[in-house]
Order: sequence, then C-alpha cells, then structure tokens
Amino acid sequence: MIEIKDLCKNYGDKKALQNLTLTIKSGEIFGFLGHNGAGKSTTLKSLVSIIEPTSGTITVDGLDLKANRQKIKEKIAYVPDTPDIFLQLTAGEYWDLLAAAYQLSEDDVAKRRHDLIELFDMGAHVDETMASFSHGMRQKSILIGALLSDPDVWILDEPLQGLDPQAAHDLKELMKAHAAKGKTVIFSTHVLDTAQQLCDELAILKKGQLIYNGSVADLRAQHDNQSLEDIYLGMAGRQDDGHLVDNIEGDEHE
Amino acid sequence: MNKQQLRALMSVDLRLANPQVTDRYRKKGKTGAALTKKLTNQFVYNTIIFILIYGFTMFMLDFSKMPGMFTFYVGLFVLLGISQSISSIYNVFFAGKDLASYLPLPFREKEIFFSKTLIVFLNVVPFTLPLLLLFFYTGWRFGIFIPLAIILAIVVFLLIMALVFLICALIVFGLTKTKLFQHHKNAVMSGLMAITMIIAVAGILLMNGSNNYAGAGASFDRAPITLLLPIYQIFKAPISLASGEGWLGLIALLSLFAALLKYQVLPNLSEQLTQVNTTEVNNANPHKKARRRQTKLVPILDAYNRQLLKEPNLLLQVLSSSIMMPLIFILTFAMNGSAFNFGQLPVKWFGVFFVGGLVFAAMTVNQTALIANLISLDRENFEFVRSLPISMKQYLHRKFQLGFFFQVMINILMLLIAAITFKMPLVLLASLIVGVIWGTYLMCLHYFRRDYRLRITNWTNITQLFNRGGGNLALVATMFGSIIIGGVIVAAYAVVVGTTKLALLANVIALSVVLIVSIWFWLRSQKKFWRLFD
Ligand SMILES: Nc1ncnc2c1ncn2[C@@H]1O[C@H](COP(=O)(O)OP(=O)(O)OP(=O)(O)O)[C@@H](O)[C@H]1O
Ligand SMILES: [Mg+2]
Repeated sequence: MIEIKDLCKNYGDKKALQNLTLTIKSGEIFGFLGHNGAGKSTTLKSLVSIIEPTSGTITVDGLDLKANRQKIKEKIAYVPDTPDIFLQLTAGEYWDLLAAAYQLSEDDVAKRRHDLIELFDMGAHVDETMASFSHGMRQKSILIGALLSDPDVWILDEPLQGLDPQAAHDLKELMKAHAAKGKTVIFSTHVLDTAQQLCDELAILKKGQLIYNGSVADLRAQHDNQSLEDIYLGMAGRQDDGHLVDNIEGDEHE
Repeated sequence: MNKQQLRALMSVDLRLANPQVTDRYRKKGKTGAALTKKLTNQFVYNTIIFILIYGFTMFMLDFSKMPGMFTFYVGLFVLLGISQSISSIYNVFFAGKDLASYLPLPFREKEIFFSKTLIVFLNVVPFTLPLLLLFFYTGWRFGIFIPLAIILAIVVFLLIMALVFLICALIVFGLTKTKLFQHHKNAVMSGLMAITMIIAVAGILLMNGSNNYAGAGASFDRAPITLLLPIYQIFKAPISLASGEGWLGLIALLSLFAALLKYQVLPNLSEQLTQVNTTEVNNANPHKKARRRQTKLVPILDAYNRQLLKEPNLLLQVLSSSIMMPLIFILTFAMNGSAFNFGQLPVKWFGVFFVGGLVFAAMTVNQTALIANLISLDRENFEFVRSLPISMKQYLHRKFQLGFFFQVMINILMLLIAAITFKMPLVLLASLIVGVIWGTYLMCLHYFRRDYRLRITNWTNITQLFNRGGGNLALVATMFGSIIIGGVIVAAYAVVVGTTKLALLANVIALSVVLIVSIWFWLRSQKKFWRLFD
C-alpha cells in the first residue's frame, strides 16, 4: 500500500503539485489522468525518488520513503515517460545492468528475461545499442528491464505511447496480470479508453491539484453515465464552446 | 557495497570512459561481458606498452646523477596524468548523462560514485605507472636496499597519484558548483579540457626546450625543475633532514587538498552532478529582457549552429589537430636553433609558398575537423529540418560558410604565427595565405560532403563521428600521408626553384596544375553535392 500525504512540489514559484493526498492499495491498477502539465509525471517521479518533493510524505507498506529509499527502490520498477536512457548500451547490456541493480541471480532471471524478450519480439535486437532503436523499441527494452525483477510496485508514465497495437495489447494484459498477482500497478495516460479498461481506481489532476479520486464506475454514476471523455472534459477541460478551434480552422468568410 | 551491483556499474562506466574503443569493438560485434573484457584488456595493453617504452629508456639512465632528468620525467607524467584524468572525469561523470537515470534504481549513491572514480583511476594509471618505475630505479641507483626501494617507490607513487587526483577532482567538481558552470556546462567543460591540454603540451615543450645542460659533469643532465627537486631528495636520502621538505610538502599538500575537497566540494556533490546531468530546471530567466522576435532565417541558423560548437570533445579535437599540432611543429623548428629564416628569400618563391599553404590546409583539415562533423552535430534536428520548408541548399550553405570561416581563421592565425617566427617577407606570406585559403576551401568542400554522405544523427558520443569511414587507422594514414606527400612535393618544388634556373617554368607549371585540379575538384563537388539540393 502506498500513502501519499500533502505532497507538494514547487519549481521556483511554479506550483507543480499542491497538497496531493492519495492512497493506492496493493493489487490494484491505479491511473493518473490530467492535462499536459497537470502534475502526473511529477507525482510518479516523486514516488520513484527522481524528484525530491518540496513537502509532504510518501510511505510504501508503512515505510517512509525518505528514510528507506534503498529498501523501497528494490520493490519498485519504473518506466519513464521518455525512453531515451542508457543509449550507449545495447539492450542486452541494459538488462544486465537492471538485473544487477535488483541483485537478481542469473538463474532467477534467465527464463523471465527470455520470455519477456519473446513477448515483445526483441530477440533480434539484443546486441544492438539503444541509440539505434526506434522509439517503440526503446520503450520495449525498458519495459523488459522493468519487469525482470517482478516488482511489487510497477510505475509507468504514459507507457503505451509509441507501442504497436500488438505490444500495447500485450502490455495492458501484463499490467492486469501483474495486479491480479496482488501487486500494484500505477500509470499515467492520456487515453481515456485505456483508463476505463484498466483502472480499478483513478485520480484526475488539474494544475497540480487533485480533482477526483475514486473508481471509474463511481465517477460515471455521479455523472448520469456520460462517457468518460465528456466527464473528463467537463471536469479538467477548458470552458469554451469550441470557438477556439473555429478561430483557427473555421470558415474564413464567417 | 554489493559486488554484483558494483561490477555492473563499472562495466557501464568502462564504456563511457572509452567511447572510441567501445565503438570499435561494437562494430566487430562485441557486446556484454565480452566487450567488458576487451575494454579491461585495453588497460593492460596500455600499461604494458607504456611501461615497456619508458621502462627501457629510463633503465639506461642513472638518475642518481641526474636530478634534472628525474624532475623532467616526474613533470611529464604528472602533466599527462592530469590531462588524462580531466578528460576521463568528463567522459565518465558528464558526457554519459547517466547519473539521473540511476535515481529510480536500487543502486546506492556510494556505489555509483565509487565505480566511476575507480574507472577514472584505471584510465589514468597506465599513463602514470612509469613514474613508479622511475622512483624505483632512482632509489635503487642511490643504493637503497631493493625491497625498501620498492616500498619507497610505491609509497611516493601513491602519494603523487593521490595528489593528481585531488587536484583534478577539486578543479572539475569545484567548477560544477559555480553558477557559470550550471548555466554554460558545455562551454566551461570545453574550456577546461582545452586549457589542461594546452598546459600539458606547453609544459612538455617548455621542459623539452630548456635543454641547457646543467653542469659540466660526466653525465649530461638537463636543468632540474626546482619545484620538483624535493621529491628527488626523498630518494637520495629517504630519512634525513634534506628529504623532510619533500615528505612534508607532499603530505601538507595532500591534506590541504583533501580538506578542501571534503568540506568545500563533496557536500551536495551528488545532487549537483545529477542536476547537471538532467535538463536545466529553471531555464527561464525572468530578468533577461525578452529578445526581439526574429523572423529572419539566417541569424537564427547562425545562432543555432554556434550552439552546436559547444561540444567539449569536438573542441578538444579541433584544438589538437588544428592548433596544437601546427604549433608544435612551429615551435620545434623554432627552438631547434637552426630555425629557418625566410627573410632573404626572393619573390620567385611565391609558388612554393602557395603550394605550402595548400599542403598545410590538407594537413589540418581532416575527418576530425569541425567542418567534417558539422552536419552530424545536428543529430535528429537535421532530419527534422529536412521536413521544414527551408531551402536545404541555403541551410547547408550557411553551415558550410560557418565551418569554413572557423577553419580558415584558425589556419591563417597559425600561419601568421609561423610567418612572424620565421620572418617571412610580405609577398611570400600573402602567397602562403592565399594558398591556405584556397586549400582550406577545397578540403572543406570535400569533408563537408563526406560528413553528409556518412552522417550519423543518433550518436551518443562525438568520438563516434571521428571514427566514421576508415576509422582511426585511416585517419592516421591520411594525416601522415598528407604530411609526407605534401612535404615531398613542397621540398621537390623548393629544390627546383632554389637550385635551378627553371623557377619561372616551375612556377607556371605548378600553378597550372593546381588551377586545373582545383577547378575539376570544385566542379565535381558542385555536381555531386550542391546541385543535389537545387
Ligand atoms: N524540471 C522542471 N523544471 C521546471 N518546471 C517543471 C519541471 N518539470 C515539470 N515542471 C512543471 O511542473 C508542472 C507539472 O509537470 P508534469 O511533468 O508533472 O506534467 P504531466 O502531468 O506529466 O504532463 P504531460 O501530460 O505533458 O506529461 C508543469 O507545469 C511543468 O512545467
Ligand atoms: Mg508527464
């Protein structure tokens, strides 16, 4: 279980995150929604120790993150929003590095690694450097790396971006199966359908503030079963009647 | 610290520390553990070669009678060590940009920094290990009991290595604390690497130059470097009042630097390095006046292209092949006493100087020059620009002009230095400069096109670009080829002009040949390159 309490993050004067309080239970898939710049990545990066929050606390299974970083990191695997890391390494070397990071023994990891490579169809690219990969291939390499350790908490920042339909489908199945084992999956997305399909629970952020937290079903029940898109736009979106688009693309003789 | 984690981190750092070698082995299909082994072996080879070369030369010398020679070698290896450490620190800590990527992983900060430091150390040791031999020889020649001499040598060697390391760590990591560095990371790093290299080369040249042999004793010795003499005393009489200065000096400096490092630099260092590794956090500077919006393309392109030049490893390369190499040539000639004096040469020599300028251009413009990498420096931006409605010809042309201007200015500057050193008459100098301008222009055309043809836009370390085409071997071959062939041509031409009555004929023939070849070359590059973008 992950508890976030009064989490704030400022960049200079800019408040990227304001008093976020959330509980994420084990065994569930938790989704973050919100416009660009709403604070999704900031939240996820705070969870994986990339960002030092300005104030607030995070506890994982009752342990305070600040005081137990090493121990907590060992339980978490993270898939960043841009997969452009360790480009100097080959995919295989990257996986070796991750296996060592999580102190997995060669025997433990060999079968899992093999299966993952096969699932994501990366067998032909093990010995190529990540610099030479397409966006989707880098994304797949990082997904494989993240799953090597069978993490208790799996955190993904817009993971479906750039994946082919097959890989996207497989990833969604993996996320479901991972949660079904009792582990926690946390991700952010802009695709509302994905959120609806996957999430047990949902948080919607707007300009650094939490504006909804609960299940998709509850959310829709509160809004007379409108589509998630309509509800989301109603809550997080801009209040206009479409005239901005008309200004740009509309008929010039208007 | 966990062994498995350390080993994994070190194999990453090994790759970062030696991008060029890594790239070479990758091309041969080496990856993973096999590559790590190859890279480790590289250290062993370097060490053996260095030890063999210097071990043998130094064995021949009796340092107990040559304090000058002793201090010369100490100075040489210390300078080598410093310049090697600074560039290794840059490659391992900065160029790899990996520090931020470790944050979410369960590595301990200690392990990350320890592995990086260790690899930097490994990268430097091969170049300084001859010091250990030097110390041992000296102690032994002074008649110290051999096991004691060995221990003494090891102790002093370690002290000096620690000193070299502390100095470099203080300089580099101290710099990262400054505002200047945080805002202009690449520029500062380039400057630092350039300065270190100049100091190293200049220092070695100076030491070489001070060849006024001291004393009329039986053995030829050079004038000692006073600053380093206390170290010599240590071996002369390890436990004595005379060697006290050496011991005390070393230990005092060490403790001073260590204290500085501990209290001034180390606090918050890891956070700062990680910050430097990630993209700037507060890019917007609210106090800066908003720039007027530019809609003219050329100034924007120029500003952009100038940004590209701030790549530290590239500048280092430019510095070494376009500036240091010619300077070393000029200085060695000048210092050897037999310096040429061109003051009396008549005008008929203008053709020789013109061709000399061409040859000089051929020597200095090669695949590591700026112009030969300017397109690849764009990285993915280049492909993106192709999608924009900008004339590709204009875009490339502007790039070319910038690269050519840069190169030709450096070359002219070098020749002006040579002209002053060798007292060239004005007419011949003018001819030389016309030659170098024309030669640089042609070479730039060639290498610019080559860069386009072999462009890599997803490189991770700039040295990958230098290795394109034939790689290092081809680079060395073309460099020496142009020096030798160019030298032969100029020499032959000079002999004809200087010793026969055929000067006029020779000039006419030479200039016609140059003219015809250059026109052909120019037309070809227009047809094969520039026309493609019409
Ligand atoms: N390194 C940084 N420096 C300064 N401001 C930052 C930095 N990173 C994020 N921010 C600011 O913090 C706010 C939240 O950013 P965040 O990356 O969390 O958004 P997001 O919800 O992930 O958006 P997106 O959907 O575009 O990924 C934004 O206003 C952004 O400008
Ligand atoms: Mg984001």
